[in-house]
Amino acid sequence: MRPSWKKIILHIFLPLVVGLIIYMIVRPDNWIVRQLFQAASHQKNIVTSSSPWYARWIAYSGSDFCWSYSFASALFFWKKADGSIQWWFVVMVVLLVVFFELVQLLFPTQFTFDEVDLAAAFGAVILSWLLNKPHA
Amino acid sequence: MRKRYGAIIFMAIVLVYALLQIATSKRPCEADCQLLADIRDELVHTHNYDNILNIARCPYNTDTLCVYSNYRSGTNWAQIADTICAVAARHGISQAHVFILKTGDYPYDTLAKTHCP
Repeated sequence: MRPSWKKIILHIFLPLVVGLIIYMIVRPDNWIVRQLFQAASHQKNIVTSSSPWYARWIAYSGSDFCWSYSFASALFFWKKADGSIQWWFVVMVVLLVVFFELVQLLFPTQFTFDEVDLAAAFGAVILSWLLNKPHA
Repeated sequence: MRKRYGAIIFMAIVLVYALLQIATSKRPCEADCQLLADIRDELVHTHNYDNILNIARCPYNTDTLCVYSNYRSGTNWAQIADTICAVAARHGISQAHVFILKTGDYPYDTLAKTHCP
């Protein structure tokens, strides 16, 4: 079954854009912004270590959540176009996002493993499956 | 043919996600590093000390804050050191030794030092 453009925009492109907005505006002191806009990289981070937990969650794991949701939705739509989503496929998508988080443990000088990111990515896949499974 | 096309789409989705993860993963900065970054942020943006480049725990002495700064003549470094103490105290760091170091030449010149209350 081919998904409608409306669903593709809502479940794939919108989360990508929201993740990008969080990444570039809420936390401008990052690699992408530094490459694109020299001036913006000196902006103060809106969220600091003394901000409330939910603000810190949105700033530091919100984009991971959005992108994992978008990724999972893209794979679920891909699978639905070819048939239905079986349980093993959901497990495979979960394992993929878990892999992308855990692999950061192998490169501690380049990346930071964050268990909150892992939980966010896991939650995003489950939410995407609940919203995209047949008859949802 | 259709299967191969499907496999390419699958690989493309995984590749885009992998690149996004690599490009946007948080760079290593533990809790203390983030705290020091917040202190620097406040000094630069609230107190306009934009010549402060970095704040870190000094090597071999974690009770001491090394504040790396560009030299600017006419700057009251002692006053900056006191402000650093006040901001650090607000972030929960008290009784630290503060060294403001001039960057550029090595070994660094000490522009000011103080012991925070």
